[in-house]
Amino acid sequence: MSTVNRTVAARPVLRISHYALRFLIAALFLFAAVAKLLDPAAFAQQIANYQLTPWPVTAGLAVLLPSLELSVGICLLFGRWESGALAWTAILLAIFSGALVAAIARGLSIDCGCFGRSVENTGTIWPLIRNLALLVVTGFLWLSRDRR
Amino acid sequence: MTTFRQAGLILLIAVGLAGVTAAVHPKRPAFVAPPTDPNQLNLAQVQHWAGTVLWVDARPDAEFASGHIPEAVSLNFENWPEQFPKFLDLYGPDRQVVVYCSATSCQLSREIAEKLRTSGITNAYFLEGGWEAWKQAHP
Amino acid sequence: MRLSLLLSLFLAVPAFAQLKWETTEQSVKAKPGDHEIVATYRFTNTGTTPITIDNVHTSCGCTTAALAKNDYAPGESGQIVARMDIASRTGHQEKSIIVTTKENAKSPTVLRLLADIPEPIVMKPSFVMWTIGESPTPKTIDIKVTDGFPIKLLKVEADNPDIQLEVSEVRPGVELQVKVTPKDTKRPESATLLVRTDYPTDNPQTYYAYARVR
Repeated sequence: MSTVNRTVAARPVLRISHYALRFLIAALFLFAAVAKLLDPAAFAQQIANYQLTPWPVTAGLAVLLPSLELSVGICLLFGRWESGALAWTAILLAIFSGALVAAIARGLSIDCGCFGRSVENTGTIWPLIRNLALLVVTGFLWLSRDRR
Repeated sequence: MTTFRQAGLILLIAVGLAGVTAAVHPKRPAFVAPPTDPNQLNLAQVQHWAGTVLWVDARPDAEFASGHIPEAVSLNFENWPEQFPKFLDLYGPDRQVVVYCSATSCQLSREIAEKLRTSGITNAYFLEGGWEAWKQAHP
Repeated sequence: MRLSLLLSLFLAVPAFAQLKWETTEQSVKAKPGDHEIVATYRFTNTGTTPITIDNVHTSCGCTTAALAKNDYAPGESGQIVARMDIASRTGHQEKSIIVTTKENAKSPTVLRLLADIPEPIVMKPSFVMWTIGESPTPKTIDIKVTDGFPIKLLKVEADNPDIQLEVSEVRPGVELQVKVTPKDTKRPESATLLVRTDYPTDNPQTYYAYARVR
């Protein structure tokens, strides 16, 4: 691990990549968090539609998740508590991937549970690939982080 | 500071922020659970009725054909005029009607149970968890 | 509400939505004789790069959503036409159409269709039953045409002579009360009550009620 660190410290390219990617993930999280925090009630309703959690938990998640994203985004932006922030990044990405996989596997609609789709479903793989890519980026950021 | 500590602190801040949001945000979600439907039953409650249950499958024909609760009657919006009389042939006041569709998130069972009730079948209920809940209990 | 990322529950991709929707929620009231509800959702690519809509998914098999093509250049507009099959649905129905783009795969847009389907004729109840041995007292079915529907109730007849009907007009053509009496309740009986109307004029619709002795 420390060899990676030294390598990163020694190569400006890698350092710059580290900052750029960190900034990118920070921006993604911040935008998402703010968007959700504008209307938590609607977000709660969306979570509730999946009926995976009892209501009080659903309402709690609706305010906690965006708050977590906001906190992580700010930490990554300013490079503070990077390890903790990256840990949360990976956790959130993993949860989302899990939900995506479950949704694809079930292939059910919300209202009637029918399998009908009206346009060729070419896009479900994409979100999963993007998520994996972000996980790889997170991995890189983790390995190349400053250990001060 | 260890990663774990940092993550913990971030969580703490997030919880604080969440708390503030929950308290003062004009569009905050209600924290009281919305009332559950008195006509909704879960599998455990239905087991009590054992032999008197008349299962109604609210899903479209294709889903019904690919698998349904044994002896369930198909009754969906698409074929209601043809299927309702057939349902009536099986129905009796001693039977408890429980409608199901694919899963908890599916609304069809509630809608069909409602339509049965307005038609005059007063003891029509719908199953929480639907076909998925059944499959889990009967692998 | 303009947010377009509500389905990406746990993450983190922003609403870089380049598709601007004229409206994402429409309320439609069905008219008498309608077999489907149609709603058109118009959008424009207000971004600077092309957008590909790669998945349009409806929450119910009763609703289809048609898209003319998948790729939209910057500045280009398009529309999604949603059709909901009414079948035997009545009352208030809410259906969703979920639109996913390749560029913003984690932030789908949820279009909502709020349909109000009034019932042309309301029968309270539409089913009456006696158990074998039960005293054959008459049971009443109230039939009423909903306000605004140009339907006239012509007559009510049973397809089984052992189930007798006595029809009284509360409001001629608009509201009828039908007293249903089985001749006896010694054996199982089954009857369909046919409620004849004059609408639509080219193919008048008959509504059904049911009587059973079991």
